[in-house]
Amino acid sequence: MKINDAKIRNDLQQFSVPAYDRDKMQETIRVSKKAYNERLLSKRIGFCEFIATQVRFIGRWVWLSQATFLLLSLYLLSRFNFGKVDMQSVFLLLSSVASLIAFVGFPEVLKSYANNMEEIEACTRFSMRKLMGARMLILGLADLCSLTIILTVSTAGNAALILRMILYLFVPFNITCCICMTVLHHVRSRYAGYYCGAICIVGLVILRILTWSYGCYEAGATVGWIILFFLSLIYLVIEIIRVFYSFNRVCFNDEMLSAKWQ
Amino acid sequence: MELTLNKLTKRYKDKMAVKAFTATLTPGIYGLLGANGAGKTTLMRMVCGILNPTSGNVSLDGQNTVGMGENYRDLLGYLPQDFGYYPVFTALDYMLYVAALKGLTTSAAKVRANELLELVSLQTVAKKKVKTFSGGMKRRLGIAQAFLNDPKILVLDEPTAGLDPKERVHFRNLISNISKDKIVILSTHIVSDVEYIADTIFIMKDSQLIHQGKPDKITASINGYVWECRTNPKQTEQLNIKFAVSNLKHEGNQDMLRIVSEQKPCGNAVPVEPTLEDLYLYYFSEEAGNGLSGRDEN
Repeated sequence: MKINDAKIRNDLQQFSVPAYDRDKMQETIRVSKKAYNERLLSKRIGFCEFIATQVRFIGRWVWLSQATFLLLSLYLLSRFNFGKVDMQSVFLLLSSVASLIAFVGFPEVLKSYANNMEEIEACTRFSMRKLMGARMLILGLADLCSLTIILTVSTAGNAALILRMILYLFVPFNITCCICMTVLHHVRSRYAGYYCGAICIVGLVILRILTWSYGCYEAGATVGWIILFFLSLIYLVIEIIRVFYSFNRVCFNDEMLSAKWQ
Repeated sequence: MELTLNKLTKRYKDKMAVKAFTATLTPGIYGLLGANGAGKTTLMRMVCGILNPTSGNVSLDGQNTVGMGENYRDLLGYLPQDFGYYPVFTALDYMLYVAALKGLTTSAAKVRANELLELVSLQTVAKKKVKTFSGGMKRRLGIAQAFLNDPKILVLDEPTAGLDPKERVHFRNLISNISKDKIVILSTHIVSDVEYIADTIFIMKDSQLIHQGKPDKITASINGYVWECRTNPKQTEQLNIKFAVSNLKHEGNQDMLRIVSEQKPCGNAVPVEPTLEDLYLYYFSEEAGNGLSGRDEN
């Protein structure tokens, strides 16, 4: 047995590579590489995996803006001494931040149009509709996370105000989303983001005026906020469905003119 | 594999963009020639399913491509005439992004993206931002993304726009190499792009398919209509106004003209072998201000 072991060890140490045809070896490598690549290429990812891949491609500035608004609002909330200061300022802050958080994501959803990528994206496996759906889902979830954190912090010492806090956060959020969705539905160009931005700024100014002039954050106005909440929610759901289905085909409005040389 | 374009028509309000385009395509390279505004891009978009035809349909092996949905798009590779990029993306990001849209797994996407970037000679700038690329480099990146899913149907709209002559040759060789078992539709108004590699040429004019066939056969259709003659500058000026001049070469105080005309343009003109460029000029001469009458457009 020991002799056999020694012999095996010896043979292994003095091995020699048998003669082979280099060209055939290269061909074998080439063919196996091709087969491996073909197998790799034949696999396709599912929609959930697709959504996960899209998180990586959401612009960094979106996450940065979201984080900035979130931290800023938390900082400002921490400076208010609830119960003593004017609560109208807290409510206005919540409403404004909610609008800004909602707005930040829309240029990202629209970036295909702004950057002329829609043609390439539209004729891929996942198409425009699924791409937009994935982007809206990712950004929507991120918005909801931010709003939940703000809501938790702002109601920590004011449990009695929880309903009003929810309304003051979600009504401006819903309305901003409704406006941006409507723009998205009708304007498919690089200007859509500007329109959304302009409309959101006007919305914030109106909110500010309403706070000063009509006391829209008074307890008596709560019923109005509840009605607005449900109306905006219904409109938002309808608009999301309409926008989602409108991505069936890419729209081209170009009626090219061809002026001949004379 | 058989791709059938059945009476594809697209109308925009008062303008007909594509009129009843009918063709059956099997694996091979198809060159779609036409002047700007002839309807090539609209046709390409309808083939890719990103533009609804007003009437007609596209079917693959008898199955309507609209109904095939993602199964059809899975077979497609498309390079649009004008395409953009996200400014923050590097070339590799761009490839990985399109690969994700095409449904490739992360590992396959990385392998394929690097392989294709090497194929279009962009591997050294793979981590550079696309916004820093020249026009030709962007176009090469566009070509590479079209190949990501190893498409069976490749639709390339003006793929050589912005490429220098060396890149054009490289592109032609690339298309020739990969076209086996694939349907490649290549739209261009640059005749030399398709002259040597296309198996079939489609000529589109005023939204319609006016001629199709193998390059040598369709060029043979204008046999006897191409002439060469030696002229003096004054005659050159007159002939230039009256006929479609496909080439003008100064030789001392004389000019050598190549003219496409159904009639003999001048006394010393001799008929010569037509090329695809002559054929193009024959059909599209009025785009440059010359008219040819009485041609057969079938």
